[in-house]
Amino acid sequence: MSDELHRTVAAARGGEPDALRELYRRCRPLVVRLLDGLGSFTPDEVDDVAQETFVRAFKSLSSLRSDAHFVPWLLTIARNRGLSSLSKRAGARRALEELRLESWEQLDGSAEALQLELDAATVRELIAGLPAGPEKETVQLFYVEGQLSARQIAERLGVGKSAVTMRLERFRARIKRELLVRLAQRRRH
Amino acid sequence: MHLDPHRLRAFLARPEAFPELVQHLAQPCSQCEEVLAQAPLLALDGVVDAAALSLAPRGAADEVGFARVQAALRPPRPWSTPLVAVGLAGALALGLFLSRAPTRTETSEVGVKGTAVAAPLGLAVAARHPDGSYRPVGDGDRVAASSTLVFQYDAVVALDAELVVERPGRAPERLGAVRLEAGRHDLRSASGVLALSLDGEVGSVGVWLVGADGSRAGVRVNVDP
Repeated sequence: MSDELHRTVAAARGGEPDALRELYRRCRPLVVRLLDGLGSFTPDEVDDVAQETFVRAFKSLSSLRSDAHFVPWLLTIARNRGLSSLSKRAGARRALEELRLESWEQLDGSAEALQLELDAATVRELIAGLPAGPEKETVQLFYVEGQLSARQIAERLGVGKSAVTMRLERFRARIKRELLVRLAQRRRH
Repeated sequence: MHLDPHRLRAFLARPEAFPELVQHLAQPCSQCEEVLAQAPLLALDGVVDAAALSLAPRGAADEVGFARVQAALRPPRPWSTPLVAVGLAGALALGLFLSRAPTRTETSEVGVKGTAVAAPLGLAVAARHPDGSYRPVGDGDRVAASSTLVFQYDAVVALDAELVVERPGRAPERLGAVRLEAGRHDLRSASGVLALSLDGEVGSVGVWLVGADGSRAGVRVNVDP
């Protein structure tokens, strides 16, 4: 996270309205993109879940121990709210367990180490290293070019939106696997 | 040795304690990647999303969206504040406009969007402007925050109902109980015709008339600051 964003988070924690606005301005596109890749939300539903995400995050900002964790923390909230919303819509008996924001950084005790191991350049390398095929094409369109919605990508590739969502999830799982290996190697040295 | 949710948490806490697993994960494994895809709510997910989503150029943020967040961060107003009684002249004008206004009926639970189905309740809505003029309001219409919403209902039978306001990210707010009579009538309490002031509202606001039998009718408007 840039120093500028770091300072903005600190100011927002201090209750400065302009800092909250700046965080919203910078991070909403990430939240919207995440939700778009998660499932079949309508634009209105994306707006609603994005709003819930920011309201919950801003109300809980004081529970975040490190300003440097703000973006992954916010995106974890967005993912949780999005999955809960999809789960309710699907008529699931039980919504996903509520994310306990105060314990986010204790969930695996390694948020900081994980952030050190993974940056945009690493993800770009992983994408470049994918074998040519539908998964690489999907990931390239969604994460790198970032202009088309998941639905538009599905239409362009001639597949259902769920196929796009599955490919993105598979790619995220690959990144996680790679990240775990890097984390272990760093600890060993 | 494959990952499972329990082992994943243990690994994240002390990866150096799992040398065999590290060796295994250095190569693609569909079984382990399935576990990683399904394991939610870890910092791992947030870190991966932050890095992957930072690759693309950023889209524009919207000011209206932030205004909605600000509105949701404000403490809720007491239920009686936005409800006002308008005079008889207003009620007569309301009848003229609402007779042609659209209605929306649903029977699903408040807070869940669903498909419209036939129901014994109908609710027509109009915006009353500061100059005293009225405009019929349909689902999804934009309305100025200086407006006041007024209502007329259609009921097949007499029943008790509640007027409820729904805003994204907040629990539905019950504004008050009303007794409905069969037929088409202005929505009123003992003190006069009921109306909802939109002063201080921003973004999506849903207003629902919820019958004691579970039926409901309402409209969702977008309030411009």
